[in-house]
Amino acid sequence: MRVLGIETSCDETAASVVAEEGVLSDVVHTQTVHAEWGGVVPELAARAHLEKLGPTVQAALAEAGIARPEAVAATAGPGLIGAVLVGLSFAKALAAGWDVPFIGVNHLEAHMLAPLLETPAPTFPFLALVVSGGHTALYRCEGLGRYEVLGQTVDDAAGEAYDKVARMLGLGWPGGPVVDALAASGDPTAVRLPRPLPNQGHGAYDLSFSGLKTAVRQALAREPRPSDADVCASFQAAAVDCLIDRLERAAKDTGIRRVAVTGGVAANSELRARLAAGRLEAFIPPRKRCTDNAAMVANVGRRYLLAGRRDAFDLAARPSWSPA
Amino acid sequence: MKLVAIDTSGPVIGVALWCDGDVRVRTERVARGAEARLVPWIQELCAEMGVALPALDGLAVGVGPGAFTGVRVGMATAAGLAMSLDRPLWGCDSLSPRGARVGPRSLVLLDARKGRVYAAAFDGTMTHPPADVTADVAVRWLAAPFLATGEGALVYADIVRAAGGTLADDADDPAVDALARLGAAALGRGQGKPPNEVVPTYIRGFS
Repeated sequence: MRVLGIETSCDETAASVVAEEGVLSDVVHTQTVHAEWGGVVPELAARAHLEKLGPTVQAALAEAGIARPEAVAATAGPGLIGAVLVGLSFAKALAAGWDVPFIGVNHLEAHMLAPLLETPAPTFPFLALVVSGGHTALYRCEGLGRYEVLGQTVDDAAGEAYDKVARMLGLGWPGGPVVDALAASGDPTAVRLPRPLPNQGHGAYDLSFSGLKTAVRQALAREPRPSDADVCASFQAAAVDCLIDRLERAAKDTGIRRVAVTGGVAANSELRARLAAGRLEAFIPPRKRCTDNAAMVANVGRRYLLAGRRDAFDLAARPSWSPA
Repeated sequence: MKLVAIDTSGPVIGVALWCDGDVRVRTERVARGAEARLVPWIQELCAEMGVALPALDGLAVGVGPGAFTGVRVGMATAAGLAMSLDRPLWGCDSLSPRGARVGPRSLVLLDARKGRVYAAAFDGTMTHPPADVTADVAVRWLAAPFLATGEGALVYADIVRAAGGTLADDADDPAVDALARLGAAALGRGQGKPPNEVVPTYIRGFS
């Protein structure tokens, strides 16, 4: 079954065709309009989605070499509601016009199962850490649609912390790639930063990045001020330590050693290197499948469709939708 | 000529199916959830009138000005149908059909929040194109007496009446029947476009 996937939940306008033989096309248009505002502006995102979605879908179909898919899947949430609505409305209309099944997909579930598109793919059960600018959560995945939230951030998402540190340093937006790049030339031990521990009034696998962000601000106020590279390296080391710590604790407690790490922050070089060198069996998609894309949406939609599920055209957007 | 017309720029959203001069509509006042209504309504209307979607000659859609998110839901739906059916799409400002519904001389006001309206005036032709103004300004565009329609005419009814205007019946009607009639004529003249070329009219920037 060749499934067209559509993703518009934040600032990527994406379309992809996924079939039995794999990903036939994977088109992503990243909106650049937000950089001057220092973050994603929801109204601008929605405007850009409406402008780019048609050409993006046409490109995905052309690249896949098909005129029409056998089903359409689209992100129905969670995400920026105005942004989700563009892709969801467009997708339902496409499916109605083509007279093919439609299914709404949970964006976080799409990230969680993105490693299933790769070779080797993890087998169930596995742990999934979804870590991005909008979400940071650790899930236990027992099978399609069978997930448990083990822990999540109690304040900022990890990617949000990267963005805020970048803003403090005047490095622009998005902060993840630039902090990651600067960290490569810094000393990760130069600035002492906290590693907030679990079990301090929260769940055993919960995370917190707010205190770390504040510690960075305080470090920048000290004299002599540490170099930007040292700040980035020290912050990155602390953030990645926290993520790895929760993963390792959860793996130990559950006995599940297969871990999928996805979401925009999974493109981070330090996190990837630490996972590659660590004791867990890590499954990290290539960078372009860590950030928002539509192949992951088509992947999940296709799995549900093959299992016999489809959604009616009265499906509404779900801006807050837990996959568990 | 068979076409579907969609307008979701105001709080009352609507869909019409035009079939060789016959028209049927669905409308509803919705706070949110337009995306859950449109495709089911279109399918219901098609079933009622015995029209299969591939038999459509095209679509018409209100491109605003109006509620930003609402306009996009309608446009994304219309564009998705136009692309999958490979039919032309005609985009129309959301005020003209509302004016056409009540007659050749009318003032159309859509509530733009923040004490303002998206307004246009018609006296045979469009004398004032859609603009983001206060109701006080818009009511001076036509000499009294005039007919006022659109959700904004209800919101600013006192200002309309003080200026010698009269509220049209069912002033919040999204006028999708009129949009369908205008759309049938436009598509007949070959004015439909590929869906990617039909763009929204926001008038107002974001904030």
